[in-house]
Amino acid sequence: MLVSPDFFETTHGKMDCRDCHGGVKFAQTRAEAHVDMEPLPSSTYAESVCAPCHEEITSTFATTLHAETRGVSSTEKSLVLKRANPDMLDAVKQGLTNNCDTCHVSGCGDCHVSRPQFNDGGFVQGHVFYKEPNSLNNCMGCHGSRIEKEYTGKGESTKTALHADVHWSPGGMQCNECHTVEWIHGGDVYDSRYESPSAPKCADCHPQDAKFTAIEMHAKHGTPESPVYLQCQVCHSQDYNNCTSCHVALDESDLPYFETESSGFDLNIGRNYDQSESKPWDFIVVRHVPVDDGTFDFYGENALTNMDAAPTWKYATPHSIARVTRQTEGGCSSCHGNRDIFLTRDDMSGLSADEIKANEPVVVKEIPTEIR
Amino acid sequence: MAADTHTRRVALALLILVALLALALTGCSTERTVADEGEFTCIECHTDRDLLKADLKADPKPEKVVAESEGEG
Repeated sequence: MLVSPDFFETTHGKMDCRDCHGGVKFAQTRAEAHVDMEPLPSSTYAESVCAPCHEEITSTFATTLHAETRGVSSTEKSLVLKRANPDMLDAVKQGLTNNCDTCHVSGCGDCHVSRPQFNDGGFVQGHVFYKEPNSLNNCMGCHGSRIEKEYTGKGESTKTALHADVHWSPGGMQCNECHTVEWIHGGDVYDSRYESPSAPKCADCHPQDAKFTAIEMHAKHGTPESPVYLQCQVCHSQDYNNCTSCHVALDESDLPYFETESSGFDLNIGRNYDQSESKPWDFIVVRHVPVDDGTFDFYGENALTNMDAAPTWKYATPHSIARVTRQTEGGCSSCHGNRDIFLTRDDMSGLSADEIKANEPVVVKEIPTEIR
Repeated sequence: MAADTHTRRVALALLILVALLALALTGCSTERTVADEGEFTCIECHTDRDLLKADLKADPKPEKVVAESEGEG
């Protein structure tokens, strides 16, 4: 690894390399110098190499979703377990362990020194440590299929031209400006990113004040007092990525791989099937997630027999925000009377009876009437 | 009064000396930039692009073996 001379001017660069990496101090040969050397100390020894100076954030990080990916891949808490056949739980858990649980941050260095090891690493600033993760190299190093494509305008939709999220261009906002250190290192333990009290909210920067409600559409749809309350993204999200039918398996060398049937940019407005204090809206945008009843077939047939346990069109917070979108540019008739923009039974064709049942609470049965 | 100040200064200097000595002995010393005869320092090798390139060529990193996935993860 090539270390920048700048590193040695920094606080970490003033330490002895071996304080973190181990190895042999007075070596005579290259091989001897690297005996017991740990290339990724924070992935193995964060408690001893990072915590002495950064105790609080090291201890809170251990329980964050970046470290544990609880709701996604945990064999105890993964949401997919709700859909599992009770007799096949071990098979599903094996699949989660082999194929899904590889997707977590390996240590402090993944965000503060190098690109994530999940993506083969590589120093971002020649081993110079940085406090704020780099959006392109660190965050999007893992969050590529959805967030990077949406936020930087790399997606393509057959229905409309897509641009970068306004917060990225021209806004120039980095991920950590919304996804604050309190969210990532705050110490709150929760199973889903949406449950964190520090999760970003549009109203943090765009309060629902008099200026906001002076806009006719905001008054009609943008506040809890509105007759029909919409999630901000219902109007201000451009199309976003949806995936279908992911299958996970091991190849002949026991290496994990996955195959998704398709993915594509689209936008669907659904009913809010999970209303709560933090998600008070009547309508939300929903993203199709790639689970299907055959996802874990490799580990055992009929592993997911409870596909009706949770919707596969799920609450989404796309990173494709724009002031003018295909929902706003045509005025009321962009949505009122426009069946295509809503998630309806027509969108369920080809799905299993269980999956159709799972999405019943999301599907819009009555399209808002056309306004003339 | 002057003697007091002098004693305090000597005590402080001794304290700093002991702290530095303890730091050096526990290995928390600054990385050495220049090696003794016949020894390597980390810096010498890990800041030399040409040396690392030659080293990598002579002793390539083992290729990471991964299975091919299809579609978006």
